[in-house]
Amino acid sequence: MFIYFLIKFRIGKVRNVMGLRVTGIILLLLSIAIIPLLIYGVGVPWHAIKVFAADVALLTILLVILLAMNGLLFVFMSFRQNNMKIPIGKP
Amino acid sequence: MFAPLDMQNSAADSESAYRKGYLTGYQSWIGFPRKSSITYDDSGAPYGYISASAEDMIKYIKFISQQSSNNLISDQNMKLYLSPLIQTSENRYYGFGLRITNPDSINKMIWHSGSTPDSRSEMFFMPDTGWGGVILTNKNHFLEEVALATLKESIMNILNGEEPVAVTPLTSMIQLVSIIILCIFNSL
Repeated sequence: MFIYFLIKFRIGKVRNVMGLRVTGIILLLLSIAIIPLLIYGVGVPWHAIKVFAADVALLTILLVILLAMNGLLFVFMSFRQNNMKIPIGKP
Repeated sequence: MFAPLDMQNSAADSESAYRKGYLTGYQSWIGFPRKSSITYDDSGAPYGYISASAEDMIKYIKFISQQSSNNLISDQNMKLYLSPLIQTSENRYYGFGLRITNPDSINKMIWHSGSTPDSRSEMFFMPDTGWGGVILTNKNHFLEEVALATLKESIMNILNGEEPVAVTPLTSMIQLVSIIILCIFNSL
């Protein structure tokens, strides 16, 4: 998904700038909240999850990285697209 | 500490444990065992890091079964040691370091389980039948711990002349769902 949107951004095909920005912020917030939510839900500290369920911890970290990367890209894309807009009527 | 019960292969600190032959176990990665690199937790005795051999655990079960007299604690204190103290659920109690299930019935069971990141154990004793047992394993995962409780229950059912509990196969659903989400994120 990250690569797909990166290519889309490169060729300037992004239309809904506001939607992109909101999605980016939501993904960023999700990436920040996912580990605290897991800790709260399971009721054990992160270190315990890392040693007692090492595979779950690794998958969670990968998920956080992907969410954060996509979130940052979306927010970055939305701001860049805004700057690239040419005002209508200008020669 | 273990000498009065003649538990010669038991240890509660890393130095003694490694000297007596303690080996690290396996962590489960999506159901597959992988040699653990986690070292013995020297301060972990209160939550699981007491190592012992099966023979030593049998000596401990014989001790709580009171089949023979011991010079460690009096009968009165032994009775207190094996009595329920705090109710934790409908039929389950916690005593002085031991769990007690169905205390006032013929199905009374004195037991405890414990785990480290790479091992899991179950110990149980049923006073009415005199049966007791210990299961020591060298692999663990937080989401697979219920499997050993099922094994214990099945052993008890067989001892009581009943059918063993139906075992549900291990599927590692949480990990598989996480992998699918990650794949979707990467491939869309």
